[in-house]
Amino acid sequence: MAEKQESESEQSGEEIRIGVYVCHCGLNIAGSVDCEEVAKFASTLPHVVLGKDNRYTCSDQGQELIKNDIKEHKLNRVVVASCSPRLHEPTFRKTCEDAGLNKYLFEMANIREQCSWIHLHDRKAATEKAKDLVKMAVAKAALLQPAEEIEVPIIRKALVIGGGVAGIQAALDLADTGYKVHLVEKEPSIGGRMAQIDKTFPTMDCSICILAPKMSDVGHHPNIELLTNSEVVDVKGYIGNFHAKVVKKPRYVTDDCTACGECAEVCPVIAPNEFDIGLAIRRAVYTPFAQAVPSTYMIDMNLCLNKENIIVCDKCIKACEAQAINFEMKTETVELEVGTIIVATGADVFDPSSQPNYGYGKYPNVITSLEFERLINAGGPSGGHLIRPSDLQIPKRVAFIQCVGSRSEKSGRLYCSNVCCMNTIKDSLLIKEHWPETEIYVFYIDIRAYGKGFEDLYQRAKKEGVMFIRGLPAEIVQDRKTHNLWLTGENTLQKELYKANVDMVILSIGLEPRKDSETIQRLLKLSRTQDGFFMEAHPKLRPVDAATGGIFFAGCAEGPKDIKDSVTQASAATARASILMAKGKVTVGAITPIFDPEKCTACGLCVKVCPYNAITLNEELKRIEIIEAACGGCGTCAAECPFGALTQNHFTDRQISAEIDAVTEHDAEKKIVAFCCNWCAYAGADFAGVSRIQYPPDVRIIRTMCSGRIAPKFIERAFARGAATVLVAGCHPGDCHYINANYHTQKRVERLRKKMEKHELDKERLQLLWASAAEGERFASKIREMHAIVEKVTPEEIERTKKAYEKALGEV
Amino acid sequence: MPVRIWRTPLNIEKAKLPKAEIHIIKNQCKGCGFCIQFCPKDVLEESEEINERGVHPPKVVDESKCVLCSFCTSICPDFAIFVVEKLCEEEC
Amino acid sequence: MTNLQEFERHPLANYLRVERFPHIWCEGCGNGIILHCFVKALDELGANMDKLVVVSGIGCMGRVAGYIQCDSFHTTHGRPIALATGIKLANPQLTVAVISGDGDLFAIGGNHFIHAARRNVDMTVICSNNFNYGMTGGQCGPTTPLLSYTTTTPYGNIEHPFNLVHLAAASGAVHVARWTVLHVKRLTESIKKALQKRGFKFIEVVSPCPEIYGRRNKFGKAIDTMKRYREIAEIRHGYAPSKAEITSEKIVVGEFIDIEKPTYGELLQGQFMRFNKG
Repeated sequence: MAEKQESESEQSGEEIRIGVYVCHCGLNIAGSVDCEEVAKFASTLPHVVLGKDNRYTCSDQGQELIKNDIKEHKLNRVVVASCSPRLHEPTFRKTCEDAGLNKYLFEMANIREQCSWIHLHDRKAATEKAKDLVKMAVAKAALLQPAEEIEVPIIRKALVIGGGVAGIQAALDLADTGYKVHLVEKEPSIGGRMAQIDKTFPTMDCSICILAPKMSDVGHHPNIELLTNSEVVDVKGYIGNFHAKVVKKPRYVTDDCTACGECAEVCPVIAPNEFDIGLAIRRAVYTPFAQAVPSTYMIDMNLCLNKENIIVCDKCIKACEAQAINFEMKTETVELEVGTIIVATGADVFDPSSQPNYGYGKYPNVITSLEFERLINAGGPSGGHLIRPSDLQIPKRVAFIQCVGSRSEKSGRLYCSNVCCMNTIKDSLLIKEHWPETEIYVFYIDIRAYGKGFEDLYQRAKKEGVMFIRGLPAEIVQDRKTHNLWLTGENTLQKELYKANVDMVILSIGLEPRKDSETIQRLLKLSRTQDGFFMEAHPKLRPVDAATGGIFFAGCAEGPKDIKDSVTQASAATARASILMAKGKVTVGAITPIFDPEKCTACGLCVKVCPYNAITLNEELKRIEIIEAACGGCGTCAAECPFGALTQNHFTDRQISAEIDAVTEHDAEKKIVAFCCNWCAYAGADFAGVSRIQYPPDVRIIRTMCSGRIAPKFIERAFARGAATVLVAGCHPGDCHYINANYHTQKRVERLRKKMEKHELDKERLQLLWASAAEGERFASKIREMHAIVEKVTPEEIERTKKAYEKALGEV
Repeated sequence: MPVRIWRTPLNIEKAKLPKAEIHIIKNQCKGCGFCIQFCPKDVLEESEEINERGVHPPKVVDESKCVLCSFCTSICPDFAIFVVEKLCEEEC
Repeated sequence: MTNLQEFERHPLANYLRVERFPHIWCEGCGNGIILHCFVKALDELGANMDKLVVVSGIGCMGRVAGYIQCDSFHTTHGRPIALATGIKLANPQLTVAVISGDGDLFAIGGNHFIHAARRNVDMTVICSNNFNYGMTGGQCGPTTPLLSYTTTTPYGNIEHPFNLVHLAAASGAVHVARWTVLHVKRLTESIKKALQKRGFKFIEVVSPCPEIYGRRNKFGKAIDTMKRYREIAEIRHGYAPSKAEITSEKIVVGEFIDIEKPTYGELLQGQFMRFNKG
């Protein structure tokens, strides 16, 4: 923990020597900004010993220049005014490091994306703005301190949550690499959805036949500890050092079970079997399916007659030759220490009972695609005969209805479930294979056959005579005597209504996020997209990483997908996890809190706001303690502390205040002081620049990692210095890079706006904007909107504001 | 797999459960009520008639629900009730 | 059909002296259940009834010797274990079971119990514990809980009771278990296990005494006591017998001790063989 040691170099009397480099970037910057003038201006700033301009600072030549200058002129701070730090900060940091300068003594001024590219036609304004931005960067650089990144060791063990095909693949890959894996599965057997399916597309392989060997491997692998019938109930810790608690629910059958099945023969309790979607029976003592791994029976105590620990019926005990039944088994808790976690919890299927017009749940012959899989499976309740539930006859005409529970506002699920089109095509070919005379209709909106071999399968289905009709039926009505079904709808290609009479309807139900994913989300502090599936760190470049370090996704937990993509993602997640575990350690960015224990009153406010639970309250010592390795670097704690005991490394209160002061030194009444978060708002402003969207040159952006860093005192300081308007911008709620830190931003800004009203100030001068990295235009619009407000603000209002907030100018 | 289960299983007829024959030795019963209380399928209830000892012995409500767990046989302190399997050749 | 004819169709009728039924025990008394479990255990083991001897003492449970269809002894108060020791030594081929009550075995018979356990004489002792002297009118005994009401403790019992399983284990019994009469299946299994083992085996069975002990302490009817057992019984196999207590909130049941030790008979036989060879 870094105790308060700011201004150490000032106290030690070391002279600050800053070098400023203004980049032309060819004509990208020089085209709108007078770089020479800016460089000259930079040399006049306090602590600046040299100010240069050059054509391509990021090139080898440019970097060599900086390195030489550092040595020759004994520079101990470097400022580069060029493109966005999101692009080249790492590059120049390395340059400094190579020259022997600590990489945290480097600062950038963004005079390209946020200056030259957006003010292409106003050279004067652009140059003035560039000068301001350089001034801000220099003011901050003067206060920067060297910092060392801490290394955190990584435990070389992994936890895989979920035993479907994705979890199985991930566990096997990790185990084969040599790491110990704990595979935790909620159900009594691994296998997930793939075990229920009959055949897979496009190869028409038998699903359980290709899955069972993998399941068996998992059961036998020396590096895999299989915990089935178990749930993860608690996860503490951080990347590389997770501490998980797993609860193993008792089976009431010991490991001596040989799966002979004698117990199930004599058990008098019958219930519908979940694996067969209630189409077949099982007993109170049962095994989920024939190929279950681990291959053992278990007792469903909700059904068993032996309630409250009194054995009333002992038929299974008497029948078991291995004497494996034990009603005294208790729940066990297992504690695991792992370095990485792979979330492979899978997806649920949509329940079409909520669509009354399709009659599922009322009409026996309307079935779901999952029920179809069980009926057509040779090991299922009907021995592979596709029979109608009403009269157990084989249907002569069937209809498939696509997109049930997908792509529809009515069902509340707007996304496409990915697999249903191909699943129906596969199912229709299966029917044709066994009963070639069957008439098959597929009612669809679009047929999505995008993958390898998918189009071929689609063409085959059409050749076999499957009729594809574009237009979902509006409703299904049952014939009371025959239990046949009438479907009415519009064929949108022929532009005519249809009324089809079929024997059986199969609803192609969609995939939806698991209802219990909330638990995992809360435990691992994951984010979810609007659809409810887990959110990856970056949809294109980090598709299997969670935003929280050390956690990865595989399979449908992250979004609906087929088996091939699930397996692919599982192997990808394994690779990502292996990177961490192979290195054995991870470095944590030095943007962690600086804590002054003297000022701490143990009020606990910071503990409450930390999204990573990285701060704990030590009641005895009456102060907080920070777990640096768990810190995400958002700075919300620093903004929350009312006593000034916390500030953030590399984004200290003094540094931010220096930037505010630099901006508002001249012409504050014409400026918008903007605080933008690194991940969304700042990136959005960059994107506006990349897209060459033009907007007024009023805004001066101060960058923090998270909008949660913005303490009310910064905004008050800006107003006290005479700023016309202030903008606080961050990620959309729910998308915050630091999980939920922007929720506190919203609260703080709302409070300040109320206070402004009380002071009889125009609260529109303080704006809050949620803008994502893709919303450049949204950012530009906001600036235009605020430009109008800047024009309206009277000098009298500015004076009143300065008076109202003059306390904010005190000691930082 | 929390999918909604609402159907009657297609193979429910195939489940062969043994049929039970419940014998109550009415005059040996002392009316403690253990069998009635602890039967897991609630097959027994107190009858209206009074036996030699002046108590109400149990009577069978629905013999088809009995699963032959024989708990009543074991829990009766007086050996007054026992269950045997009904051996049927064709139909029971 | 007469009572007797009906009773003869009972699956366990062969093991019982059916002409003596119905037995004398009260409505809801646990002794009948213990008898049933014992006889069921014999049935499941396919025991040879000609090689079985049942010895009982004085008290309600002591009547059991008259109901089992085998060679049995209904002996003087407190002495079944002494007799059983003699029987076993005289004819080691016999399986000897002592079934009696808590007063008979642990008050007047206490000394016989601890020494037979110490010597590890091969016998199975089943104690029906109803926490008082039932047959003689409900006096307090060595297992009556503190502050309970009995005919001799109308103001509350001031004596601490024995923890029977602790006593048995401390004395050296090789198999010690406790069940209530509600745990019929597990009790039957316990008896089977004990009958097949060699050495001194002890099973305590907690039983309701609805007419006397139960009535005096306002426990309601027998069915209420059984329901109470269901609520407060806790199964803890392998628990330390000293900690396996019976309180108003908790009855710890289970199999606590299961060890092997040479029996008195075996050691005696061994000595005979060694010194009679000359």
